[in-house]
Amino acid sequence: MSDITPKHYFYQDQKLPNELMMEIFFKADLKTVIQCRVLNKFWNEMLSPYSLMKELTFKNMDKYTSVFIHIELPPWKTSRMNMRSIDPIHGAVRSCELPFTVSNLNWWNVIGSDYGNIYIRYTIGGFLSKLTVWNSLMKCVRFLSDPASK
Amino acid sequence: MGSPVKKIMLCSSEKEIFSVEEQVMVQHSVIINNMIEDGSYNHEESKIPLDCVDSKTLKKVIDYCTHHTHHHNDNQEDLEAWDAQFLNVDSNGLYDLLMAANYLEIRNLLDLIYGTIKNMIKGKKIDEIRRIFNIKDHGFTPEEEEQNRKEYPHFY
Repeated sequence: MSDITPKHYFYQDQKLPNELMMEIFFKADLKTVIQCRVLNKFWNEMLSPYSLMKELTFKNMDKYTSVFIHIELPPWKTSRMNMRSIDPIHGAVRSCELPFTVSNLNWWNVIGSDYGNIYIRYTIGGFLSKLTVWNSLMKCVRFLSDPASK
Repeated sequence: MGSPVKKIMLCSSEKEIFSVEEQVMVQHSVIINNMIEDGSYNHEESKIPLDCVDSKTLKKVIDYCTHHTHHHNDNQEDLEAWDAQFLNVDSNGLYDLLMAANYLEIRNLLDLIYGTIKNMIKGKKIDEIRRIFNIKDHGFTPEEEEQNRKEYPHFY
């Protein structure tokens, strides 16, 4: 980070009021906001609510450009299906581990990815396929049932 | 021969008086607009005290408002270039400007500064952002910090 000089830091005793910082986060891109969750305990709580994430996701929708690729599977027993996401503009590669192990699923496949989400269709026991949506950046997972199976 | 331009007096924290066209401040500052509208400002004798804005910052704020009032018909590129030049200050200057813009409720200037700070933190490592925002104590337990580093290694 060589382009940062001391002139970019605020005074020792100066701190932006929290409500002004919140305004900045509202304008920032989703990735920066998620990163700022680990700034400190306070922002970890402030930037985590689902409603805020939802709002920011919709605001960032047309800007989001990750591509997901699925690289390795084994070992089957413990694999969490090691996926990588690639930012096509900057070329940054991140691994995005699933929150569950795929060995629990009898049959599954990745049916798509969009706006940073990975969509996985799976069954347990061979019938009644279900859908799960995993957002690796926000660490959100949702299990949905297939409306066709009702 | 129009009527003389109406002026208002702004008083900085150093008690320095700045005389500004009324129209300029009314157009940009919600607070001053309200003051003029509700008649609490008397053109003969009132000064608007801005105790938390120093002279240097107030001068810049007035510059900004004046330029944007008189040049709002300029093309977008020229205005953006002017804005970039205007915000070429160190971060203490930026902080003062932000606080002043917030106090006077100057929406355009606020948005401009938010955008600048947003770009300052974009793509930086977390320690860098902590330093920019002057956050010294993250308040996480060592275990939580460890967990964060494990979950988001690319942020550190």
